[in-house]
Amino acid sequence: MQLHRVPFSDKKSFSNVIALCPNLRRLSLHDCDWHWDDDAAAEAIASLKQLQELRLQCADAVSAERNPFAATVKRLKELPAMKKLTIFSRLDPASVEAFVAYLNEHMGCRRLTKIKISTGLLASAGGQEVLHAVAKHPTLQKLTIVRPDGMGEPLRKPQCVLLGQAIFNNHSLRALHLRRCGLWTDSLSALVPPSTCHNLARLKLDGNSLGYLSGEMPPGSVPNPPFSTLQRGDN
Amino acid sequence: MIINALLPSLLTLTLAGSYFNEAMDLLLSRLPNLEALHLGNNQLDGKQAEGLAASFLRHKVAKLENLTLGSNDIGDAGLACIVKALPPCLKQLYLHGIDCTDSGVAALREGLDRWPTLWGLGLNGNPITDSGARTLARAIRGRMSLRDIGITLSEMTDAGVARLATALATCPNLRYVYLYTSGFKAAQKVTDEAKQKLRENLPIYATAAFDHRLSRYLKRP
Repeated sequence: MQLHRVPFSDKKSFSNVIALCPNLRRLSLHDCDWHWDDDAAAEAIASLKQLQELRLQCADAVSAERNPFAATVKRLKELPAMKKLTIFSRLDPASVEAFVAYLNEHMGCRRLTKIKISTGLLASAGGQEVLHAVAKHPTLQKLTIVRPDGMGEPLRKPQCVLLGQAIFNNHSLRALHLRRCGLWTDSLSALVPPSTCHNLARLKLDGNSLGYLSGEMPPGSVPNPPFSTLQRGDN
Repeated sequence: MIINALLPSLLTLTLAGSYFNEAMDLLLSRLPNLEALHLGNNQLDGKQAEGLAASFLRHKVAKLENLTLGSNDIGDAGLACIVKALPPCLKQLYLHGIDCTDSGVAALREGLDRWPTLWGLGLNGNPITDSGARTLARAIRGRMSLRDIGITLSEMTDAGVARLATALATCPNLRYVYLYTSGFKAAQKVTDEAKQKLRENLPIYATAAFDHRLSRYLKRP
């Protein structure tokens, strides 16, 4: 079921529709009007025990004021069949913590193989913990990070360093997609894993600005900063 | 002002391109089992493409099956270097809008001889003329592996389409042909008559898409 920019007629309409589809395998909620009861919506989603794919997408500008997925994220662990999870939204600190706890509770998400998240989520308070959790997840095969449409938060070099460590440490991870994340040459250098990484087979870096250095170079480094500085990602 | 003060004493000037090549070289050295690399739309230029090719050769990339380099300013020289560096196991090569001309196609032809399992080739949005289309037609004639090809060559006319149609008719496993005649960098010199002939000549299971807005509805292999 895909609900894209759907206006809900009343606060219970979403829950009522979900109640009619107990065997739902795929659910996509994308920029709806979020005129729903957060707890009732979370309860309805948590009842979908066969749900394998869930997409929660909300524009950063909206989620910065009100996070419609706060209650849902806390109940992800009740979805045992989940294989692919997409969260394109900013989250409040408590929700980020709940999401990280979900990822760290490996038995609760033992079928999870694909995660798609936005740079906005990583920019939320505690967002870096998500990358630490990804680095330890035993079944995760594919990680996608996308910057929301427009000029959202880019992927920063410290985050790239964590990603480099994640692809090195997590031997199940086979694909890393960093599309339209605002990467520059220096963030690319920060992405280099600490040593040879035999597991990663697919790397997508489309729609970035890899041909250029970012404007974040330290004043003393112009015109020729040492490459090791770039690689550490601490410039 | 700072730049002006620096210039007289400047001994070495390294621009961002070399940093990209250093970073990518190191990254590739750490990923020996890479099968797919997508670098589309990254403002890469010909020099950076040459550096990328050197990294491919240095680190072998023996398992690379899918390379996407579309929407970069690579040009013919960069493409020629990339083609020489790619391994025989290549299956998909997408080169949309990279400023490739007829001489780039000539370089690509040498590569096609070395990639027997290539099934996806994208050349949409390149300023290739009928001469380049003829070279491409010779290269793909009778190719068993070819399944998906983008031939929106922006300088091509009906004569080039006719050459390609004849060649594509000999590719038994062909499924999708993309020849957009409207939109940015489209093959606007191609007439409806040539498109009709192309469609009539296609192998039995193949489909041609002439409108980029509709191509998304084609079922992927």
